[in-house]
Parts: sequence; C-alpha cells; structure tokens
Amino acid sequence: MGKEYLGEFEELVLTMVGILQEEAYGNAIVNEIKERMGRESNLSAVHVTLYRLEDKGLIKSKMGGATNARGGRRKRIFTITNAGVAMLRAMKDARMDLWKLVPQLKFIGGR
Amino acid sequence: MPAQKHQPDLAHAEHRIRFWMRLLKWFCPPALYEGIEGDIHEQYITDVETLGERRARRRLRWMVIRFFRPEIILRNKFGLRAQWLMGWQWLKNYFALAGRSIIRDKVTSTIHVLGLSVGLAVAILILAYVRFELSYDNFHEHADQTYRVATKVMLQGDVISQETNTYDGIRTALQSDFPEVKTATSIYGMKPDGLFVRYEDEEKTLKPLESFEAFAADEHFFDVFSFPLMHGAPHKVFAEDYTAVVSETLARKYFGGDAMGKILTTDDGEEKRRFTITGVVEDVPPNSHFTFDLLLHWTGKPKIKQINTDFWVWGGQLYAVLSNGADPRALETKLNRLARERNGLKAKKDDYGQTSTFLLQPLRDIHLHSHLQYELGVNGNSVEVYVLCFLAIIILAIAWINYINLSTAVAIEKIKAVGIRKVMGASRMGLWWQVLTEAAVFNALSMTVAVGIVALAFPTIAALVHLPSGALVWVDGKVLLALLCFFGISTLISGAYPAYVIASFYPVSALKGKGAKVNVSLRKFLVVFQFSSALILIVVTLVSSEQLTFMRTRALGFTTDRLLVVKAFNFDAEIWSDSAGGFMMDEAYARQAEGFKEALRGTSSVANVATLSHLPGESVNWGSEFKAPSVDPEKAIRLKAVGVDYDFLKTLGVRLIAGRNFSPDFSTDRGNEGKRAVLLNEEAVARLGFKDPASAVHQHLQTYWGADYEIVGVVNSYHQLSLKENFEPLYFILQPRALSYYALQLEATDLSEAVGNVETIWKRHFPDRPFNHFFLDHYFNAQYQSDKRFATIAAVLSALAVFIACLGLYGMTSCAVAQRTKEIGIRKVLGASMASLVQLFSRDLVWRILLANLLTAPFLYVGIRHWMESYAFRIPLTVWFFAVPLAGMLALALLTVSVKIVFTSRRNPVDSLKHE
Repeated sequence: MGKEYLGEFEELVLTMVGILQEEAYGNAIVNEIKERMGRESNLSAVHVTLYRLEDKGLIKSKMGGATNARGGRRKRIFTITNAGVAMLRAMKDARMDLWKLVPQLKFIGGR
Repeated sequence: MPAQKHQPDLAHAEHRIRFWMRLLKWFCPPALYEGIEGDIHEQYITDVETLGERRARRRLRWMVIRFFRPEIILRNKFGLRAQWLMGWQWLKNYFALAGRSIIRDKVTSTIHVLGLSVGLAVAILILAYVRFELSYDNFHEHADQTYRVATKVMLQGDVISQETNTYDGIRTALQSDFPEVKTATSIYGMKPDGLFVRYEDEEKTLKPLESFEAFAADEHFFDVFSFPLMHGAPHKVFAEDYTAVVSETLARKYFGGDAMGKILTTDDGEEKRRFTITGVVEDVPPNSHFTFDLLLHWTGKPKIKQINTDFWVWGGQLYAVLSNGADPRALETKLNRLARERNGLKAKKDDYGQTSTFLLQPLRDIHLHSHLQYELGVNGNSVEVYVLCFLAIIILAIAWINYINLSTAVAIEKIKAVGIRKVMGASRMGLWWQVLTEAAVFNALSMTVAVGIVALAFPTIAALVHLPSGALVWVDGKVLLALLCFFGISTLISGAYPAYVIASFYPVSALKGKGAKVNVSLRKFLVVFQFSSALILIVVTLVSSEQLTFMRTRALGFTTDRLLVVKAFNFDAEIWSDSAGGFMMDEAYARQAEGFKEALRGTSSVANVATLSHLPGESVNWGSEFKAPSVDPEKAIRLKAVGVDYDFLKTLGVRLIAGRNFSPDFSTDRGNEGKRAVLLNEEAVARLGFKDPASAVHQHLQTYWGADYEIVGVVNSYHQLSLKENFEPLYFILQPRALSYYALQLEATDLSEAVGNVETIWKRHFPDRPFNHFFLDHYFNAQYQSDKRFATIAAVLSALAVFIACLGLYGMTSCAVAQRTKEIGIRKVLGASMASLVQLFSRDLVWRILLANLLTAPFLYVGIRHWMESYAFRIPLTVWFFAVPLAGMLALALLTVSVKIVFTSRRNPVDSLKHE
C-alpha cells in the first residue's frame, strides 16, 4: 500500500468509517467528526471524499435502510475494506515510527 | 412537546425545499442522488428542529450549492457501464422498431426511400459536377499565385474589347523588370489548319499529323505550369531552340510511344522549321482551361511578323507566377503605369487614342469567371454552378419535406404506441432518439440507394453534361466526409421535427388516440413551399428550352442549309498588318486554291463556292478603327473585318440591301493598303451614324493610318455570333483567292455522296493535306452547347422534383384517406359520387397550389427577366410560361389524389365501415 497516499481529511474520514461501522453514511460522519474532533466539515466535502476513498478501494458502499427523516431515501452505508484497515494501520505505524524520533530530537535541544 | 409542535411544520418545510431538491436531482448523477438527497434531507430536518426553518433552509441551500462541484457532477463511474449497456439495449430496440415500421407500412417506407434517395442522388451528382468545375487548374504547383494578364482596350472612353492575350512588351517587362514576379510564360495558340506539321516515320518519309492542338511556348512554360512530364526534365526540355514537347497520346499514335529525339517539321506557310522532340507530357487533364497535344519552342516571335520592335505588339496569353505575399492589384497598377509611360512613346501614327489597361486574372478563376475574347477553350459559368447548387438544395428540400410531412402524418397512427411507451416510462429524450433512429435508418437506406443510382447513372449523365468520367470520385477523404455530412444533415433535418412532434404527445390523450398537437399550418406551409419549388424548376425548364429552340430555329440572316465548310490551310501566312494595311500572300498557294475552287464549280453537286476568313459562329479577330468624316469627323468606331470573295453573298445567302456587291469589273475593289472598297453590314452602318443604308453607299471611311475605304454596298446584319450576343458591326473586304474556309452550297440530296466528291477533288489538288470539313449549322449551333446542357439538366431536375413532390402528395393523400376510411364509407352509403370525394380531398390542395403560384410568380418573373437579359435576342416572357406549369401541376396533383381516392372508394363501403 506504500505508493498510495492519503490526505489528512481522507484519513480522517476513513477512520470515521472504521469507527462508525454499520452506521457510516454522510451525515453520521459529519456529526461524528464534529463530536469527536470539534471540527465543522461540509457534507459535500465528506461525500466527495467518500467516493474518492471508494475509488481507491479503501471502503465500499451499499444502500441501507430508509428513515422518515430522510424523506424515504435510503442511506448509502460505507464500510471499511481490509485494504482500508491495512492502509490506516500502515499510516499509524509510519507515524509512530516518526513520532518515536521526535521527542529525542526536541528534548536534546533543551527547550 | 417540541416534536409535536414541529410536526405540522415539517410537511410545509419539505414543500419549501422542493425547488432545491429538484436542482440537486438535475445536476447530480442518478447513481449518487439517493444517498446524497437522503443525507441532505436528514440534515435539513435536524436543522429545522434545532435551528428553526429559516436557518435550516439557508443551510440547505448552501449545502446543495456546495454539491455543485465537478467531483459530483462529472462523476459517472458508478453507472457508466450500465448506462452504456442500457443505451445499447435501447438503440437495438430503436433499430428493431424502425425495421418493424419499415416493413409494416410499405407504401410510406417506399415513398420515404424513393424520395430521399432521388434527392440525395441528385445532390451527390451535382456535388461531383461542382467539385469538378471548381477543380479547374488547381493541379498546378503554383496555381494560387499564378495570374493571367488580360488586356482591356479602350477607344475614346469606351471599352472596345477585353482580351485574354496581351502585348509582347508586357511579357518582356514581367520577365525582367518586376521583382515580385517569380516567373512568367507566354503561350501562343497555333491553329492546326494554319500549321502544317509532319513527322518522319520509320522509312524517313514525311507524314502529316492530324487534329491536334498546338501552342508555341517559351522556355519558362514548365516553370509556371506543372503538367507532369513522362520523359524529359521540366527545365531542360526547352533549353534549346527548335524543341518540341508532345502529349502521351500523340507520342503513342505517331511514334509508338517512343517519341524522344524524333523530328517534327512544321510549315505555317511563311517558314519551314524542324523541331526535335525533347519531352513527352502526360495528357492534359480535363480540368485545365487550355489543352494541347504539341508545344513548340523557338526563340523569336512565334507567328508574328516583326512589324516593329515596339512594346505594342500583340503576343499570346501571358501567365505570371507572383512571389508569396505579392499583391496582384499592386502589380496591376504598376503595369498600367508602365503602359501609360509607353503610350507616350507610342508610334508616330495616331490610332484614334486607343489605350490599354491590364487585368490580372487568378489562374483558378479563369474557367468559371473569365469570358473575354479569345478564350483558349469553352469556359464554364459560375452562375450555372450556383444555380445548380440551388436546384440541388431545392430538390433535397422537397424530399425532406416529404419525409417530414409524411412521418408526422403517420405518427398520428402510431399515437397509441407512443402513449404506451410514455406510460411505461419512456423519456422525451428516448422518444427523440427513437424517431431520429428511424430517420437515420431511412437516410442510410436512401444513401445506399442513392450511391447505387449515381454509380449506375453517372456514365449517362456525364455524357449528357460533358463531364469526364474521372469527375466522379468515391474514395477520397473529402468526398467521404461530404457524404457523411450529407447523411448526418439529412437525418437531422428530416428527423428533428417529427421527433419533436412525437415527443410532445401527452401520454394520457395519446393513449386515447388523440391529442396529437401536430402543427397543421406548418405542414401546409411546407406543402406550399414544395409546390413553389416545383414551379420554379418547371418555369426555368420551360423558359430555357423555349429560348434554346428559339435560338436554334430563328432565321440567322444567312443560309445554313446544306452548307458544307472545308477548312483551308495556310491562312496564317497572311498576317494582317497595320502598317502594310493588307495581307501577305503566297502566290503559288493562291493559284492552287483558285484551281480547287474552279474544279468545284464544275461539279454538279456543288451550287456555289465561296471563300471567307471567318465563319458565322466564330469570333472575328480582324478589324480596325474607323471614322466616317461625312457623319462625324471626331467619333471613331471599331469595326470587325471579314475577308470574302465575289461569291460570298450568293453562297451564304446574305442579302444586299443597298449599293452593289464586289465585282471583277471594278479593279479598284481589291485595292491596296491605302484605298479599297468595302461592304458594311447594317449594324456597322448604324453604329457609324448613317441615317439609312442607302445614304452610306459611296461614302468614305478613314483609318488612323490615313487609308481611305469606299463603301460600295450594305448587306443585312446576320448573326456572326450566337443569339446571346448582339449583331457585330462588320465590314467585308475583298480577298478573292485564298482564305481560311471554303464554303460550299451543296445541291445534291445525297449529302454524303456530295461530300465524297468534294473530298476527291480536294485530294487531287492538295494530296498531302488533311480534308477537314463540317456543316455550318453544326458549327454554329455548337455555340449553344452550354445552353443545351443547362436546359437538359433543368429538365431532368424538374422532372425529378415533380416526381418527388407527387410521391409526397400520394403519401399524404393515402394517409388522409386511411384516417378517414369510415368517413368515405359513410359518405358513399349516403350517396356521394366519386367526383365529390375527389373534390373533398383535393380542395385544400388546389388552394395550396394556387397560393404557391401566387407567392412565387412575382419573384420568379423578376428573376427570369434578369436572367433573360443575358440574351441579346430572347423570347418574350408571356403569361403562358406561368399558366402552363400551373395547369400541369394542378392536373398532376388532382390525378395523384384521384388515383388514391378511386382506389379506396371502389371498395365496398361496408368494408370501409368495418375499418379499425
């Protein structure tokens, strides 16, 4: 997966899909981001990102159940694929590896 | 509870966002729409509950707008393949439907295909013709930078002639003094009968060359023209004097293909020359404005006696290649300035103030746009090309209108099917595509048939309009593209309106079998247009063929009956010279010619023999400017000269109106350069300003070199040129012994036997010269070749137009009858006669035809008047030219309708009542 690169927002959305599991659809993700990160995100931006992630094979989608609040429209439920999980893990590991280097450099600096 | 409080608002709130949801649906790919709409909707409902409706709506608007982004709009990955697959399935379905409707409704289908294919075939043929006409001279490498220098001669402010050739001084100047001229060449046509060419065969004996076109060319010929050489290099063939280039055909005919290095001897009566063949050129393509079999090159003035070394010696046709970016208009100005300077230095003698200006004609425009004196071939006519394009479009329009009218009329029958399709969810777009597919199928079929028609008919048509067989090209990128465009345009034009009509049926009323909002007045208008178009074609055909008949049958002022012409030779030995004021003559040849004439006079089959320099039907290139001092000492008029003998009037049946004919009794008739007797024609008498012919007799004419000509007689004006031209002002001079034609009035009834006799006598007197002969009426009528061609084309096209229009009419009537079968049955049961039924169905039609005539006639009248003005002698444009086509069209239309009605109403009324 090394050659694939994820942007920060993509990574965030991908993580959210992983967290929400069966409840991962556009609105839920927007709300989840707001709740957990305190960050306002735009619905259309989330959708576009979801589609892009789907293109990359990191998530897949299916149509889920309809609710009254949705005017009878079904949800497009996204679930993370194995590739998505692997990608997240690889990115986390890579970051951790880097992170391990950071304190030493900083602290030796004496600030 | 708040939820309860909000509950009634929600339905209202949902209602308020309909527009935005619809907007979203419009731009959002269908595959994504549901998920997105649901999300937005959910958010909106949440927002309404937490933020209030107004803020929620604002947020929703913003949300929807934010979705309007390329990642969403252009995203079609989800459904792409499926859509294509669906589209393909639909297309297959449309094709199946088109196929079914073709098979089911055979009459309509036949009419569609017949009409469209004939229309398209005509369009393809005319396209081939126009393409050929426009291709003239474009095969030369420098075609776009090559110009011919034409000369406009003015006398006392009047243009007296515009000629394709120019002065030799201009050639010298162009070749040396103008940097913007890359190269220039001059060609000089040599009349085959004035030039006697022989070749040496294997036994070294000399044999004559027969029927060839020859030009004297200078060494730059192949720099300007890129006629491909099969043997010899372009810039080497004329490197030396006395060299010749022959055409492939001539080389094969006389030298078995191996002509290089062979010898040709020429004799123009003045000088004998020997030429070595240094090149063989491919036969001149038919789209060249001049054609040749033989090019002769030698330095020195070809064929022109060195009268003086002045700038103002007439030369041949001059062609110049300009360098890139040079402005031909600027060069024209420079040439005219040069001419003015040289004018000042001009000959001592006053030529009554003649001046010349020069005109650069683009090489590629010569064929269609140049109609000057001494053209090198019969040029085309740009107006004819435009008119043909127009006619092609008219015919196509008639065919398209057929399709449009008929398929909208038939659509009413299919209305239930359309209704069902709509109910089953067919989109407007889908119906559009369905109808267009049907149009495309019909057009593809018609195109195939049209290509077949063209391929089969082309040889006949090419022969009819004198088009070379090579003019029809299929395998050519541009042609194929044009055909494809034809197909596309034809499909769109014929399919668009029916598609619009069918797509706009209302499903429910369509299911009930009515509610077709077919615009009937548009259909009526189209029918009127069809009849107007047909009327234009018929009237043009009638007028052009009547005018042609008129021109070919009108009394010409001379007799053409049994008048045989034998071409003399050696006429070019006699050069008209201003300074000599007469013609040089080879005495030995003159005696020979006199002997021939005497021998003919002794033959019973020949009534009269005369010699003359210019036949009627030939443009006269001799002449001079005259003043008649007794009328007006200042005014000078250009008259053209014809050399004749004592028997000219008698043989050609030209009438003497006043004075006397030339006579051997008056030794002064022959005269010399200073003094001679002349006959004038009435036109010359009138132009000179004499009151009447009698008052001109015994008056004197003066030339600018001081010669004095006495008018001894006046003859009737005969048509020297075609009836398109006015009478030419002519004077006749006595040249009793040898000129360029022998005119023989035959007495015998068996013309071929008489011609045989004449040939025998010819062989006896001129054993080694070819016997070239023809009848004068053929020669004269050859001038009407292009008129005849146009009349033929117009006749064929109008017949086709009428045919297609009648087809359409038949189709429309069938359709109307089919829809009113029950009505006919009831009417018959109630005792309606056949005539009243025909009347019922044709009343509208008659009105439409009358309306079409009324609308078109005034414009047509003005247009045809304008066109007829190009004929100096023309038929009067009477009301019959409009009344006859009208009557014919009415008759034909009624016949078409009656055929269908009679056919239908013959059936038992009970059957018609059972209909449906």
